[in-house]
Amino acid sequence: MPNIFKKKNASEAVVGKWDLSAGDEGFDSEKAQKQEKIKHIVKEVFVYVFLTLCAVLAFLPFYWMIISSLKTEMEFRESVPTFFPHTFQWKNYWMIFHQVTTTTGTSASFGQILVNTLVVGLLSTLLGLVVIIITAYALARMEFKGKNLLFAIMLATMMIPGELFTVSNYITVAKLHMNNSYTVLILPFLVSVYYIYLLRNNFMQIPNSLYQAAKVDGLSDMGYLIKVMIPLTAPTLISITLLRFIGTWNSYIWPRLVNTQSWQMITNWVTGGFVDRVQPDGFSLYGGDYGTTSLDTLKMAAVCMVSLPLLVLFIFCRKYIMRGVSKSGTKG
Amino acid sequence: MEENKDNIDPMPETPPKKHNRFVQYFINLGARIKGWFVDKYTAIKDFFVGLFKKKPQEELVPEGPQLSRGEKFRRGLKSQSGWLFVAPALILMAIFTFYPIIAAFINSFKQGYSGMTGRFDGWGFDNFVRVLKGDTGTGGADFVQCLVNTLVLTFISVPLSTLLALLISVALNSIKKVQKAYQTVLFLPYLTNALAMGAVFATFFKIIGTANNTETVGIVNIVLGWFGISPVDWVGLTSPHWQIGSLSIPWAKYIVAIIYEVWSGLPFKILILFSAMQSINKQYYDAAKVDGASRWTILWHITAPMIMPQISYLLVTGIMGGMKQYSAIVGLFGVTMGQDYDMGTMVGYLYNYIELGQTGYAFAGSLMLFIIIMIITWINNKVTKKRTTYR
Amino acid sequence: MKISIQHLTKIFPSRTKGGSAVHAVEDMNIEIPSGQLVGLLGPSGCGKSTTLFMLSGLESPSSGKIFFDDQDVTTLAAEKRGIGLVFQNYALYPHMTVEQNIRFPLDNMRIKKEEGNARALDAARLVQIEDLMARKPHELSGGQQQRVAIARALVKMPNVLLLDEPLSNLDARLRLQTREEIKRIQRTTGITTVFVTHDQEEAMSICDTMVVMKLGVVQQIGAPQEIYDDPNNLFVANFLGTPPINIFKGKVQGGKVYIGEEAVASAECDDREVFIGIRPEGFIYDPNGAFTLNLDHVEVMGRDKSVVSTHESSTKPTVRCIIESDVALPADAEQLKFNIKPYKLFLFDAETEERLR
Repeated sequence: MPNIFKKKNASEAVVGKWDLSAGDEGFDSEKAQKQEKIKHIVKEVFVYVFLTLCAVLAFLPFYWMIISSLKTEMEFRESVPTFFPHTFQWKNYWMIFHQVTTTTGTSASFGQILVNTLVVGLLSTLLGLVVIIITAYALARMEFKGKNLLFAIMLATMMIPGELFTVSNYITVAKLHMNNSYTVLILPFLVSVYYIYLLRNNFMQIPNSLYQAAKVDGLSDMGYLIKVMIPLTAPTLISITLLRFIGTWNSYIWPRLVNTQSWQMITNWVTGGFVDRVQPDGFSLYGGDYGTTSLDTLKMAAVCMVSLPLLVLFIFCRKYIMRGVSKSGTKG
Repeated sequence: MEENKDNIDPMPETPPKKHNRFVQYFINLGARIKGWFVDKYTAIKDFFVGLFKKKPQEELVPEGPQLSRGEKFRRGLKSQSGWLFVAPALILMAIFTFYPIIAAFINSFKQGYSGMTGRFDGWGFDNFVRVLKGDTGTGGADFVQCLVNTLVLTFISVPLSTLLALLISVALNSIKKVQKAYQTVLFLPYLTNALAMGAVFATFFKIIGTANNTETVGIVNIVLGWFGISPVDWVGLTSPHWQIGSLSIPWAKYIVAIIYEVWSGLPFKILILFSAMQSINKQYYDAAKVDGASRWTILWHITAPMIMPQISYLLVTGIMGGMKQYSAIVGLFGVTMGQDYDMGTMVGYLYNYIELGQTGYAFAGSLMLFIIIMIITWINNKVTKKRTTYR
Repeated sequence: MKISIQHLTKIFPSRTKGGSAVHAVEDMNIEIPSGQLVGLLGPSGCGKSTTLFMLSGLESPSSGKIFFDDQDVTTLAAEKRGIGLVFQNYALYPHMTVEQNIRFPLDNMRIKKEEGNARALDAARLVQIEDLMARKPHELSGGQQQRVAIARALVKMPNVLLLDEPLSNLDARLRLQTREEIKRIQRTTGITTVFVTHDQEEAMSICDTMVVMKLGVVQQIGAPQEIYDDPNNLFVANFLGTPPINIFKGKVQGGKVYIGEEAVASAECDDREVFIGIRPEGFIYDPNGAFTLNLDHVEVMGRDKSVVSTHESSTKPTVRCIIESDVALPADAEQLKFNIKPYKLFLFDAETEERLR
């Protein structure tokens, strides 16, 4: 028998490490309670200070962006920065809306850019969703020769960085004379293997008995897809829709490569310079004092125009966006 | 709980022989590599056997009434109608995914290749040699510089932001009040446009301009001024750097880029780690408390190992994303990626050469990016192979 | 270590706004002598686990005090109480080997490596898992995990060992073996042990002292046989024993106990409405007996037989009597007559459900 676990008489208290009276002379419960409480409060305060600091740092750039966009350029350049604008220069926004960037004969106004982004965003999201759904459906529910091989090849392409495709695609669209069109912005990105994979797994989780029940109830395959599978996977579909639209909104490289300015997207627009240009009617913010220098306040106004819609979208669709994000996070 | 195979008597098995930790590691590694080959072999074998074996479904076709030729054809077609559904995706992928992969492999070996005309001077490794030597004769970005930049930025910012995310998640997990509010604010930077927010960060670090004939500086330099540090041109043309041979180390810009990447990378990492922590069974913490574990012990011996799968996932995806970074750099330092492309990244390199019309070099560069990413993937797989989810 | 619990109360605030607070434990008073094996028994939600967690220090009481020997430990943190706790789901750290799991408390106590190794091995030997030290918990069966959890609790030589539903995750056969094992370990180490269970058979079989609880209130404390033979109230009588006690509605009139029209026993209390509890083994078959039951069927169980019958005054659908297998019963009888062993019959007040003695 192990020597440390000798039988102890019932009357004999266990003497050793755990003799409670050993360390402190008569354990004072009140004192200890007080100490514990103080320790707890100190820890609590520390945690909250740390988190608040992080939250402030996370939010600071947004705050700075908004107030800077409303300052006059003079105030922005003061050597002691102000944390709240003295005067609100709403005309900054007026100026960037009327700004027409010109390079080599092509021009783009904010209106044009916004239309581009919305049209491309909506079309590529909707068409993409259709392609993703029917492909995922076929892969999840239909039987045909070579299905598994096809799926394996599709998954394998996820391993390859998209940049490898870009060079060839750039040449392809140039040869097909697709430059300067919406098609060129939409077509190459309609298929997203990752979303197909995600949706296929979602579809496969739907029990087969539901399909059989639908058959008994006289539903066709298409009817089953539309009336049963799509509603059941709605949360995933909403997440996909949102993330795709955000992706299009943020697209920068491809539009820059294949299209000239008037055909580009909002993110391309924001990287341009914004100057206090004298308008045809003689109006200008600072009387042309800054010449052709790009002004940071105007740039911040443009940055707001790009960032704020995303923030609004986030506030209203937080649940779906976060779910979509954490889903891709646990894909493993 | 696997109660059935329970045996009240201790299993009559000798305990595994104890080896030195390093010896044990290599023994495990050997077993793992062997397992890998066996897995692959059986998978491939099964696949080919499957191809030639008749599907049991086909045998179920009723043999009673003889089917007319038309009916047979119709059924045959119907059984393959799945192809109709995948056709749109397949066609698009053929043009924009499969063909480019093949083209990239072939065209990167064409010397002096011009994408538009398709003309080239001959086959060989010329493109790769010139890209690596930086001898492209175009004044574009330098590949080695881009590679170094990418690796430095990635391997500093990813571990840093993961560690910070871990600390924040632990703090977030330990509070009860207004947890949701903090979580939401901390998640805000996730949904940002890299170019737009890059521009905002640039104003923090910039030498802003002149007002009343004096130079004014951004917040960061003002704060540094409080400590008596004279303003640094963090993002501009006179930004300080070290020179090592032909390689430039623009440390000030590195710092700016790393700060931006940590800021923008945190939300996703916090989300993943925090939700992983929330799903750890509370009993483990109770048990640890009874066992007298300190807060620190609990963090490093209970929480961290339990969320190891998520941590390693974040490191892997973070490194993958880091190797492909580009937009943030453009947002911070402009389209030229700093001065003479000294903040260029590997992806930036590709686009630079596409825009210069040097598609041969772009192909070679993209292939090398592919190979580097493959190597990192391979290492990742090896390191994180034994990932188990506890819970 | 002697444990005494004085006026222990735990109130959980309501989860919903305006809802009423939950009294998980109310005014509990127990003295547990050193070196005993004590079972806290009751249906789920009776506050037995809450009591255990208050003993462990993981929950703090709303009021009342807990003493270990003469030390007030009411506000002492869990890790300072010197207790070992075995969780219902064992809570073994999945990323650590068995050895690391067992060593974990010792490492936290900063015990030297050699001594720690020796003690971990001793604890493992005690529960007979010394051959499994290098394994991870998921490579173990349920019973083995249970042993590791006990070893981890014992390795720091606790004053008090607490077990939360230790057998509920094991299958029937293992449960029998493990409960004997727990008894053996407790005997060997002499550690005061408190365990929680909802299974009365389990509690009866190994406890020195049993505490029966209902809705946060202690119903009865005593040795298992004492409680079985002398229950305080209807709940305790009903909760203990398999098959369960038979309960009839009846009355006491003129010193006699009536079920329906039949006087089945004598009583010393005033005339009143009562519940009459009769243990299944309290029936003696007698063709001229005082009590008539409508026979439904007889289950033969080898050692004895179980007579399943009905009675209109019974509060349960069937009445079960256990009689020895060599007692011959008439075939095809529709009714059977019995005499009742007086010490197997308990009277309870119809309103308070308290025992009438």
